[in-house]
Amino acid sequence: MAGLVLEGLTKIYSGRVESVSNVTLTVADSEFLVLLGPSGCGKSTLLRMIAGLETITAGSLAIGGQAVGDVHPRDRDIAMVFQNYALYPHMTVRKNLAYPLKLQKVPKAERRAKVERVAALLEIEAELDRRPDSLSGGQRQRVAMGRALVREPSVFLMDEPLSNLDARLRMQMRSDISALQGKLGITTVYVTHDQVEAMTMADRIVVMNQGRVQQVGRPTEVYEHPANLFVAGFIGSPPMNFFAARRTDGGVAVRGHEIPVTGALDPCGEIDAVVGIRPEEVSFGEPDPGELSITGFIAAVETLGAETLCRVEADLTAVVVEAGVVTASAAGPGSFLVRTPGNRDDLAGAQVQLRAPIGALRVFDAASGRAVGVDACDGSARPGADDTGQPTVLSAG
Amino acid sequence: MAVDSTAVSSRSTGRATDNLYRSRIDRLIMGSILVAMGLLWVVPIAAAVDRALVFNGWRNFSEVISGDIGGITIWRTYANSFAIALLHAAMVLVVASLAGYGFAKFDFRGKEVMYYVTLVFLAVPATSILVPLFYITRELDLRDSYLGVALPEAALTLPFGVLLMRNFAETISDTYIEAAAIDGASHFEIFRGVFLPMSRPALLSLGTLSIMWSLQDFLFPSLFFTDANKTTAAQAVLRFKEYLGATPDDIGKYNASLVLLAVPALIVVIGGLRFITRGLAAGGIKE
Repeated sequence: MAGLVLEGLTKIYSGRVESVSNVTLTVADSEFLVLLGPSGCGKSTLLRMIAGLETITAGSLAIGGQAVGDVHPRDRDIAMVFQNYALYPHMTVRKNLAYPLKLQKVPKAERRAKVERVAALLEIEAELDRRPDSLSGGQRQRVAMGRALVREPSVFLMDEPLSNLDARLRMQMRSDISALQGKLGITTVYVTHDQVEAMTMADRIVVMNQGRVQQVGRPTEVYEHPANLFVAGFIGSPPMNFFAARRTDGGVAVRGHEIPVTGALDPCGEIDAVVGIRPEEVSFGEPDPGELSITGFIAAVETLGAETLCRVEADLTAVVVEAGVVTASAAGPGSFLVRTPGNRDDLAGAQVQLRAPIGALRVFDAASGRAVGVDACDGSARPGADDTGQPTVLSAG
Repeated sequence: MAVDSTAVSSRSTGRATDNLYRSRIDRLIMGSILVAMGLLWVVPIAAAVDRALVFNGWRNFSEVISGDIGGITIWRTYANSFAIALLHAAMVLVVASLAGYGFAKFDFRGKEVMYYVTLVFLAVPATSILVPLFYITRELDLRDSYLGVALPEAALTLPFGVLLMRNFAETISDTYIEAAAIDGASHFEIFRGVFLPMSRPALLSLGTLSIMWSLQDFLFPSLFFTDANKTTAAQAVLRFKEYLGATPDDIGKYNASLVLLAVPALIVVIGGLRFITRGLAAGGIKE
């Protein structure tokens, strides 16, 4: 097993397009790290740079303490599972699994034993003599995992390996991969755009946007304390609600409540500051004295069985955030999503009173989008952006 | 309900297909053209077979098969033809597959220019380079050798081969190449272990076409062979004419030889037709 150290990794295509920008990360030995972000954010390019499939424009990369920036993929002691599995169609499952060992000139008997051991681990013994085109999506996924595992690599790289599976199988494979990774303890870097995969599988999540790391942290940390508007809007389904707040001497004022913040707040146009709250933090009912009071009209109801999503036209100044940047504010009532348990069809069209704990509010600088304020949980300032307005690149390990 | 919708769906699919050739006049015109084209091919062959049976009937065939015409047997012409055809196909397959793989999967300076220059040679007629080829093969001492015929044939087939192999290689996802590289394969191991097996339809198609074209080649063997023992089946059409056809008895025998000389190419085409169509169709649709 081995850890990874990425320092200032940058990828520039054709001398102009910066796909990955100055990424610094440390991945601990046996850690399960998930690179999460929207399409085109550079997460797959970063993974391919680690694999050696893309050249590194600037920065350095070390695997297990060895600098591997210029090393051929086969000599990096890594294995990779591709989105489309890349199983060789002309080979049986057995030959697919044995191919990396054959290239390593592993003796035939040992090769056979290793293939059978991996097949047993992944429960694909019965498929060993079948060809990939006769396998189901889940079986192909397992074979792809097996081909990566059979080499006993130091680092396991996975590029959206579950994206071609249906929802039910994806859920099953999520827990299988997590369990396998925990059992084998292989350092894993996993790319996905699916936040459920990231939240359920990762030891730590790296949220990326436009080639830059936005935040690194444990799943709950990223969810509860997003570093900036992008992370707050990207993590969570439905995403966080944003509305405008007024600056005061020591912080921001929201509907008569004063929230003290640390650090300066720069306005963006007419918006002094942005306040965010998760849909599940808002509930129906009369607010207590320490709670935020919101009134509004329920414009739409979506029942999901176990819960209901309500779109409320609320008496708040809505803020439009696109890709983490404040782009506009609505003059009228803002749309506000509320998640409530059970089936609440009856709420459609109702005038409602909502309440939310002040401690659940997150405050963001309107100009840079970075999170500011006093953490409601431990009182420390949350990681955000540096003075230049760029997100702080965190390293951990 | 589900059954109903399936039924409706399959009915509409059937109608959609029929719609392409719905009109009776369309079908009549198309059918007539196909029959006319079929006759165009069948009539000369039928005429040759008919003329091959004059005077001595099937004995004309048995005499051609068992005998010697102008110092060479028909079997020897077959052997010569296949020796050249296989050599030609082997050279085309090796070079075209390497070039197709390189053009499709590698980035290098001047790649597209080189590719288009290669394709320009598709337009070069064999007759326009006959004289230079004549001197080159003489200088290389390749006259009266199989290689001396197969090599120029390969040179003329290669632009098409490169075009076919590159088009096919581009339909093979780069992910396979990358997966093999991570698995530990060198470029050559990827080429041999992944690319070539996955290119089987295109290789079979190109191989079959190369053999077929070589078997039909009359020009190069006529130019480069002076040794009667090297006569190919296509070339024998003329050589046999020198020895047969003067007497009524020989006319039947000569026509029998013409029919028999066409047999190897026909066998290759009939046997390889599915490979040809599969290989040429592959790559037309990107999965």
